[in-house]
Amino acid sequence: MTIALNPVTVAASIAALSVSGVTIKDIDEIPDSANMLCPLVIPADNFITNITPQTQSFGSNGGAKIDFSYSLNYMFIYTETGSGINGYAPYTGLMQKLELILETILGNDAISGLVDMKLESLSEVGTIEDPAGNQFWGVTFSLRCLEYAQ
Amino acid sequence: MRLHPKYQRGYFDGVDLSGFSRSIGALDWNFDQELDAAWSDGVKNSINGKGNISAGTYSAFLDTTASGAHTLLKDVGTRNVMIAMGANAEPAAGDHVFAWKFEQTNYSVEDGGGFTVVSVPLGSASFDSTLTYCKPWGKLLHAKGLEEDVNSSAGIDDIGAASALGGIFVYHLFSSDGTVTLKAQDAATNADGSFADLSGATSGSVDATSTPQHGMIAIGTTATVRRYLRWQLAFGTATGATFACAFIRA
Repeated sequence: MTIALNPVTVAASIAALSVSGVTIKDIDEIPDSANMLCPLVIPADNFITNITPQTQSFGSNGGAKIDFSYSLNYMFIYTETGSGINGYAPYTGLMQKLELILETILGNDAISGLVDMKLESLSEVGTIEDPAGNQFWGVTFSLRCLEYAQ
Repeated sequence: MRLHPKYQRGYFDGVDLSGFSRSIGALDWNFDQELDAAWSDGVKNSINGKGNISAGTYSAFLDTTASGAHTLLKDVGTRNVMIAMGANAEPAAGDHVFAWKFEQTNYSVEDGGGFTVVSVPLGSASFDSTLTYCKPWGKLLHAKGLEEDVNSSAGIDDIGAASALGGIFVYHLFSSDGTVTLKAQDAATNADGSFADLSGATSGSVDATSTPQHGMIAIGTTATVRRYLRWQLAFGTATGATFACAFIRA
């Protein structure tokens, strides 16, 4: 019996999703700055949180059935703040891309490495910072993943 | 591999109700037991008596879709039910299947807390199923999908050996553009040229151009079923058929 945990595989599978007009980055592709790369979805710096292993059967030394749940946190960076002819000019485009991202994620059954994935939370749409601290229009969201680790 | 319920699919009378289904079960077989012992026996024995198969209560969303649960289940009737258990992915050939015919005994609509739900007790095995078999678990030969050509692929190896107790061929033909015959084939060697029709395991010519078709066909109880199984079809006037089928080896 082997315990197998796959958040890295899951991240790669999410990065392989196709969302028109949006680039989704894997955990080995996180840019230092989102300048000139938007619209962009990247793993957040607190990428994996709320890890919850739950033993579901008798057994030990790798023999027990274990549910492995965790949250994967992403940032959707749409465009630099101040883009457009007024402050809220990017808002509609941001919402349209956000719709596409969520539709793609919620409608996908083929994420490798897990058995189920749900949208866990979505932050308020507004100003977020890329890894370099630059301000962008965007939103953060969290995906709750379930693996049958054994 | 443990199975997650989101990968179950439910087919009722040739209609795919997966997207409306909330739950079903328990998927069950059971036997009455008769106590039987001679005067001098130290303990009483039990022998299995009549068997029964049931699928518990099916729960679905009430909706307005023409091919949805309400359209199909609002009237009393016999239900041909197939539950395909995908192995943590869309069901595929070789996956577990629970399939039988049941008498629907009720149709109950109630508030589900933000939506409206339908509860359908599926009762016991129908008179229209079979009296010659008592096991509802088999293997999927063809997952729901469109085929436009005959099958030239290898099959599945469901128990690792041949058997001589017959079985049941179950099919749900969701749609077609004319007549088609669905069949099960068996072989001793898992190669295209080795497969031959399994005697009796055929839908006969069916047409789902306007109405879905379905069936549960029991073959002879002493029929030899060779080790490997696969689906097959023969087009009549149809050029394509969307179907799922399974074989329950006894």
